[in-house]
Amino acid sequence: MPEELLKGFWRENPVFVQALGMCPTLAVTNSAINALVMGLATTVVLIASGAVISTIRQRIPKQARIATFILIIATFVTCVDYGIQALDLRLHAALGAFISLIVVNCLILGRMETFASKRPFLPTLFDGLGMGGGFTLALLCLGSLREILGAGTLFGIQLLPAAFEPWVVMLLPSGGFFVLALWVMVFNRLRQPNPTGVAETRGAI
Amino acid sequence: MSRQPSVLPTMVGVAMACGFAIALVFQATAGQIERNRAELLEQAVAEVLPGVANLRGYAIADNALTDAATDQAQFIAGYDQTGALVGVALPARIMGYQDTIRMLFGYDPVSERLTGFAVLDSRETPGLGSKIDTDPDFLASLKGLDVQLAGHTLANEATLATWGAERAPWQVDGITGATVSSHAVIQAINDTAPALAAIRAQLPALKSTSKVRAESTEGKDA
Repeated sequence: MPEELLKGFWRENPVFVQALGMCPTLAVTNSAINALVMGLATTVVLIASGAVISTIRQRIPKQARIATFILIIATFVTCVDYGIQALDLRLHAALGAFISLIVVNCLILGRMETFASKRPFLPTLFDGLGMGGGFTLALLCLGSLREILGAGTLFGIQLLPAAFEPWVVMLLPSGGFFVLALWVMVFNRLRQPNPTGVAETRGAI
Repeated sequence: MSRQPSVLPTMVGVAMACGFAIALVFQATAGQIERNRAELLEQAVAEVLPGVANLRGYAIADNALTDAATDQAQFIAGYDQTGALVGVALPARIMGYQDTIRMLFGYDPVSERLTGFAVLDSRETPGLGSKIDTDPDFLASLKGLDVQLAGHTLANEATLATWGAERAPWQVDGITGATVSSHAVIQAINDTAPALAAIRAQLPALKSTSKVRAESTEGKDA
């Protein structure tokens, strides 16, 4: 069971290894708080829809499974959307359309198809927690670095001295790619401590 | 193949359960979302009308003031503790760089100046266009901006200030990297002229509302 939980953080990290859910990863990580809320919202949807689909998996007709998954995922996304609006409208405005777009996040549909629809309830729960946690961690990595370099703040708290001139490019879409590349580099370096070792191809293809 | 559950009943069942769940969550959160909206609007009004204590929403129909709920009002009048009119908060919307910017102008109909500016909702580029809500020079130049009327247009249309030259009272300090967003706000100011004229025409009525309140609370200022 701990394997189901931990693989999402490290060996099969959805962003850094599987390169899934790139659209929200690049789009909403211009501040740490946006990244955190987006990650948590995705995690909630992942766990909740995984739990439901795993429970009713024997009753879902095979030829209509994708449609059923989307229906269930969309329901939880709508609920999360209302929840965030009730929590803080400014936050909801900052995340814009990306909350609704969790519906088509390939990470979620992918986990439903490859895991939740085939496994019992408990492993699915751990899988959702791990994958969601890994996704949140990755988004937070991107969001905090982009906010620190692009605005000199972290979670809105001034971190760098006023003399630091913010690199606005880090908040723009191109900055998302730079920071993503940087983190993927760091992550792969840590995962493969022997980069000179030949012919050890791992990762997402 | 034989034990496959049939498609239609399953889909209908799932869809009904989903619909029920969404309706339930909507019911549970609707009140809080409504309260958040009202709170956000109140904060924005307090921001554009410094020193305001009481708010009243108004609409203008057939050249007369009618009361309206603050979230549906054409404009919101703000009064201070003594009941004197501080100014009017006027919502406006205009197309920005990515999407519609919704904003709120504070307007003092007596001195014919803006008292403040707040962004209610925008999707401008983070770090560039989003600065219309934070850039200190831009916001300072909007505060006290001259919006004197000449009929139904501004006597001096708001424009961007020229760099290095002295800024006229109707000129706005633009934001580097946010040309489109700055221009959009300036355009919105010029577009509000007819609304400002309509509000100014109601100035006696707006003030008298305040006088009634002032007499009831203070009794001075006969």
